[in-house]
Amino acid sequence: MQEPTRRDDGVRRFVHHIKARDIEHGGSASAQIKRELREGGVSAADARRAGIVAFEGEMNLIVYSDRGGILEVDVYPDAIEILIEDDGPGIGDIDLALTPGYSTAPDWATELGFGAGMGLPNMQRTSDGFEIHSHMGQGTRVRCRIERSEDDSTGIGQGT
Amino acid sequence: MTLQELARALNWDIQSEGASPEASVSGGYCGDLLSHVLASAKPGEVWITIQHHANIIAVAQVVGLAGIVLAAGVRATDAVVDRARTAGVPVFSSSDTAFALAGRIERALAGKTC
Repeated sequence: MQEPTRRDDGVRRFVHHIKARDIEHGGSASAQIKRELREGGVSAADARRAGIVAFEGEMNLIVYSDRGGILEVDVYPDAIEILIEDDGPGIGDIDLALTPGYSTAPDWATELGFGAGMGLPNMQRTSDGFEIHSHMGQGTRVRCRIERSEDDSTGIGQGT
Repeated sequence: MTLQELARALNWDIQSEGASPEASVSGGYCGDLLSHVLASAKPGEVWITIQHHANIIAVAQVVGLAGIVLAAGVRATDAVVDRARTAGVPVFSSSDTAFALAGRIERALAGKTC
């Protein structure tokens, strides 16, 4: 559990350090982020989208990264930006990694229902803006932007 | 139909009651691949699965699912139940297969005998 911080410019920021192979806690940071976004006045629909992007990113760090990485969420008045970054191993073919159904997940992950080859595609389609940069041996950085809906009432009836 | 009514009608074993047993159920989703659940399940639906590890609790929270029904007699371990209770996520166990559960849930929500 980590407390949200506030950047110098006043933007609310959540930072979670995710450990590689920490499957036991997989998704905990994302569930916490979603809850805190809701408590901070973000609509249910927007918080849900952010939660889904964060969950996929969090699981990617757990399943694929060498040494874990950072899951960082910035809350702007008009958008939510989510950054997922690790320092290796990197993705050799990004186009292939973005192809629905393609996965390099190890057996232990697929047995738990991960590795459907939908993680990055889910992040991309759930976001309004999506950038990925990766270099083998250096790491991967994924940045997703979710435009906040103007009317928070869009969250009504869409769960919490 | 509320989650509580559905659980009672279909004779589910309650492992974690959840924070809002009176919440109404809007539908169901059946699947064991977590990314597909994240992509396709909708808030307010019950999720039928045989996955029973701790990560399903986070999936339910992120999506805003009404609850999780473990099919085919699968049961969550004490550690997972603890996680579910802390998170306020309802978890049930049923001896029905996923196929049978989906059919029974659909009939119950349509107001038919299940």
